[in-house]
Amino acid sequence: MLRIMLEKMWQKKWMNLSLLLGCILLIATTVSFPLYQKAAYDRMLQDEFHNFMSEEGNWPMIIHMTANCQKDKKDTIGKMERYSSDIYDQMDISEYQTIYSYSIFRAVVSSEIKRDDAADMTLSLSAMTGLEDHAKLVTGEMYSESGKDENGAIEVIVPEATLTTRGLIVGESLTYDKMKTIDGDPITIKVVGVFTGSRTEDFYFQLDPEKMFDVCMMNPNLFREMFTGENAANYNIKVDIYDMFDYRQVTASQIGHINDVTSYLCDESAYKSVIKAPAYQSILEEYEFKRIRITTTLMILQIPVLVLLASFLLMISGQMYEMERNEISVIKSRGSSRAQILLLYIYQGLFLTVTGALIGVPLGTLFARILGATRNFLEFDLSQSLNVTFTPEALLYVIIAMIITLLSISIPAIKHSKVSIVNLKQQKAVGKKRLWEILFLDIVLIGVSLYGFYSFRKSLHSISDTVLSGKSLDPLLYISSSLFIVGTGLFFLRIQPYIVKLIYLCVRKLCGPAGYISFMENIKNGRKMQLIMLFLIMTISLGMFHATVARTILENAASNRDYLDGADIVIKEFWPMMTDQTGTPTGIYIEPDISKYMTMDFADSFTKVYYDDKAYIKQGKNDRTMTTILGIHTKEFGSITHMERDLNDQTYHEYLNELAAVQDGILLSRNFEKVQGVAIGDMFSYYTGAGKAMTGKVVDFVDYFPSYSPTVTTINADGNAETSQNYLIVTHYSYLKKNLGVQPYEVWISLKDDASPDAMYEFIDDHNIHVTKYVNKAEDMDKTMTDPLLQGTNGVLTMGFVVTILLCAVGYLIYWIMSIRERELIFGVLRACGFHKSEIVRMLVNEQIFCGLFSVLAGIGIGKLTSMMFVPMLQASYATSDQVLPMKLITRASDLYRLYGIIAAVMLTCVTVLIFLLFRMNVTKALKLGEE
Amino acid sequence: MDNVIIKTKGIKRAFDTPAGKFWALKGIDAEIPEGKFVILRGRSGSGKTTYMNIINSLDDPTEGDVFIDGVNLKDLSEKERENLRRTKMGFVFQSVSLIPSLNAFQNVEFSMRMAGMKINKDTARRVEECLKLVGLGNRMNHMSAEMSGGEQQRVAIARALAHKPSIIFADEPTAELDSAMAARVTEIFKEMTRKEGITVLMTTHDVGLMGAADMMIELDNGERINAGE
Repeated sequence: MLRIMLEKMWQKKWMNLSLLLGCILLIATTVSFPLYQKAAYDRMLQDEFHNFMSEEGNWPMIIHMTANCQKDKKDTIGKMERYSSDIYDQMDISEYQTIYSYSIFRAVVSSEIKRDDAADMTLSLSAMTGLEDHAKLVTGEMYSESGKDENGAIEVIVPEATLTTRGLIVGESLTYDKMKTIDGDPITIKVVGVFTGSRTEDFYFQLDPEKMFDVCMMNPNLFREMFTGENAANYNIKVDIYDMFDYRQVTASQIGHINDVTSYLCDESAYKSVIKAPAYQSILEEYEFKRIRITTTLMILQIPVLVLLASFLLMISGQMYEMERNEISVIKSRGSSRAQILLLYIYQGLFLTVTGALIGVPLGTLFARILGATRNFLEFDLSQSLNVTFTPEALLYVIIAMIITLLSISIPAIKHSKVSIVNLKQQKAVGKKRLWEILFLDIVLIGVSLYGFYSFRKSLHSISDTVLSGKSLDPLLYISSSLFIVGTGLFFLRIQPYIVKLIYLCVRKLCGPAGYISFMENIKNGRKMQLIMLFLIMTISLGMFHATVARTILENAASNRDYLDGADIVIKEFWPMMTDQTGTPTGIYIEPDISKYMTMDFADSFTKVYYDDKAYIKQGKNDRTMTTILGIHTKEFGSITHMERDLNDQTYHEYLNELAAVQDGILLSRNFEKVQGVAIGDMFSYYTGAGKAMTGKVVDFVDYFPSYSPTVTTINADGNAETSQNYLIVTHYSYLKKNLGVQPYEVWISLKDDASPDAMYEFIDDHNIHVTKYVNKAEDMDKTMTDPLLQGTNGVLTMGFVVTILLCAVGYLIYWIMSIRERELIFGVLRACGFHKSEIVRMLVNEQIFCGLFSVLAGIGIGKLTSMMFVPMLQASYATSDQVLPMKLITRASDLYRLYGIIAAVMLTCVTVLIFLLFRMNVTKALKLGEE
Repeated sequence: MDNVIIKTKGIKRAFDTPAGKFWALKGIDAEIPEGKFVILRGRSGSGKTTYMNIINSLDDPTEGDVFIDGVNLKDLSEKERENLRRTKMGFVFQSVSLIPSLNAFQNVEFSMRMAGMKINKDTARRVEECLKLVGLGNRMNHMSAEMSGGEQQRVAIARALAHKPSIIFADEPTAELDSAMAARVTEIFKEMTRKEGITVLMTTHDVGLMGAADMMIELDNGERINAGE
């Protein structure tokens, strides 16, 4: 049996090779998803950790145990320490650093140095493990190894804050009057050094030394020796243990375990009362929230590609059995049972599937890497690929893919194993309607998808609302678009023969024998081509659709970010307030030196912008409506910011000019007109955040203005999205300054094109700027583009596109090679009867036009239509709460040219191969074929 | 003597085989007069198809010359030979050779298109005439898949005939037919020579059909073994 199978496969080696290719691609594609996801989630998790670090300024994974121990006779502290070091094993994450911090509640000390102020000095005697590695000594030295000086005094180092507040002196000895050693001796400490340290620079300092005002640090070993365990005496010791985990090693697959262990530790363990709820739980929650959304979204996006892959296998194996029909029917007529024939094909399927898996799995790993290197639709940056590792979950996917592959290859055999030579002849009749035509499947599919389209369109708003409240892309929405493509594709196939007939009627007078025969072939025999045509249509329309989806989602996100950030850099400095003699603030700000901004050689220009989001308008006595005031210098502002033309009725600069012409003019957001009923020319009163009344003459209304969101979407307590109006008043900076005096302003900067990303940071450092608000558009943009959901979407769509193109190329080529092989005899006959080779070529080119070009055109049309209909809804599924700008459908011509280029290359290759085959064909041999 | 339409002189044809050159034809001379029904007979492998394919310009002889209407085929370009086949020759093959996407009428008409004739009422009449001649006047709109082997072969004959060629080459046209049908086909050929003055060259190994021939060329092992009519 095995031998028969291998021989049979060798005879049809090209078919089997393409089947193998299909298997490989299906398995590789399937397995690449979990691999990519795992790697992407790992990266996303790390991103979340990093975000936490930069936002919270703390190490992202810490378990903090804290307890007060009255006496430590029972070795409570030791037990806690041992338990804390066990947590690393329980969590299965390695240790980054463990900090034991002990302190005795502050007590009165007396110094040998007399001080003027009579107040008692209190100091808390503390110790932290690892301090010697982290403390930066300002003066003096570190406490010694033994921790005591030659007189037996405890050596301590003090933070700078303690030194200054307590007025301590290095070398000073102090005595705790009421604290005694276990032997009854008074405890004496000696300040040997002063240290600094800052949590923003070193996460070791869980307690910020800048906030330690009455602490002295001694050697932790000595502390343990003197004050804990047997020697505990009566001191009340506060113990803090910080388990800092090496979060860099945490992978997505550990999250479940970490969550379990964490809740055990906090809720059930013996130490639950001393373990503080760790901050990383919120990171993991946020991560999980995103992960689920990404998983579902990507899964939905992958389905059409997988379906296409499976149908490719079905098509090719169907073709192969078609070729083997004679053999099968002969074997059958000679008495082989149906089961035997089936078994033969199942063996063959198994062989292909297993070989496919052997090659497909490594290829899938490569695919996953490429997915992670996607920067944009059909754009990769391989230098930044993901670190992909094989996981048990991926193995499950491999098995599922193998089963699908096996089924796809074997199912057609079931149909064919039934055929004996008798009904074979009956089946060969030409041009019967296909089942889908009889069932009007195309119309049904279009109907269903249109129903989906209309019901989704009616609730376009609720799509983004549900997404904002944490749900993922609605599968039905995406499926509707796929169904629409299949439905319209089938419908095109239904009408295609009529189109060909129509063309024939128009040109029949002109066409020679080659044209005639290709028209006839298509009109009568066109149904044979339907599968490959559908394949082509789907590839192209899905490709176009996906290109548009990917571009639209990404570029809308980018232009939204661009708009909201306003300028390349927005920076606001800390403005100190003037104080009077008593030290009370006068309400007058001290303006930082603005001239330094003129020295920025990396910037084009800058402008002052007064920004007040606490401003309001009064409607009744107590009815205030919050608004934002933007005070600008129209000319400068106009050169630094920009806006798309189609966002407002007039161009952006026309509004600025209108404003510039009126000294107390104001531009209002459109909702003032619509909701509040204000009109152009009105004198409009408003209040600054400080409560100062202002008036201005309304010059116009704007729908959009740089950085302004007309509405604000928030998630309420029930987890639903809520939208509220946001108002804006734009006026002259100079007018505000005249009325309010100098107020803290922001500096909006436009950078030169070649400005280095670090230039601004260096500038801030060099000028020691105390920043209170900082927006960097380039960084925000980068963040937007590498958002895992967007990137994953781009990756999956790109990958899907590449796979479909590949399949389409192979499928198309195979179909045509088969079709030539099938017709070799006819070609031989035609050649014998005097047909020129060029006529046969022309005939094939005609057929390529009817089959290929028509499908390409239909694919383009359907792709465009589908994009126009469904992209807005899909885009809504990627909504973020700060999406402000109206969605724009974006199709890049370059994407389409790439698509067309690939298709053209495929068809050209196809024609070349076919012509090559034709020219190799020997007429007399071809004629012999028929005699066998 | 009648006008000689086909003349071959010392036709030899060698094929390369692993064992060296194999001579399928070893020097065949023949003169075929116009308007005759000629049977080319011989056992399988005797070289009759090879010989016929050389005469109809599908294949080239290793040595020797073929003259059609006095023109040496060697002097014709590939294109001229193709035109010769399109206009002056008609073909009937052993196997089914109809174009599956065309019906009987269109198949017959197609040879006229190939010959460069303008398709009009006259050609339609001719198609009908040819189909009637082969006894299929009532099945003109049937697709080839809807006809029996014998019917398909008769359509093929009508096709070979429609554009009024000078010579029809029929390679084992009766091999897949029962004897009654084979006799009928032979009869049609005979009729064509009589009615239209066409020369028919047919290969066969069916002894029962030999009686109908005006002339016989018998090959054995690449050599002509009879020299008479």
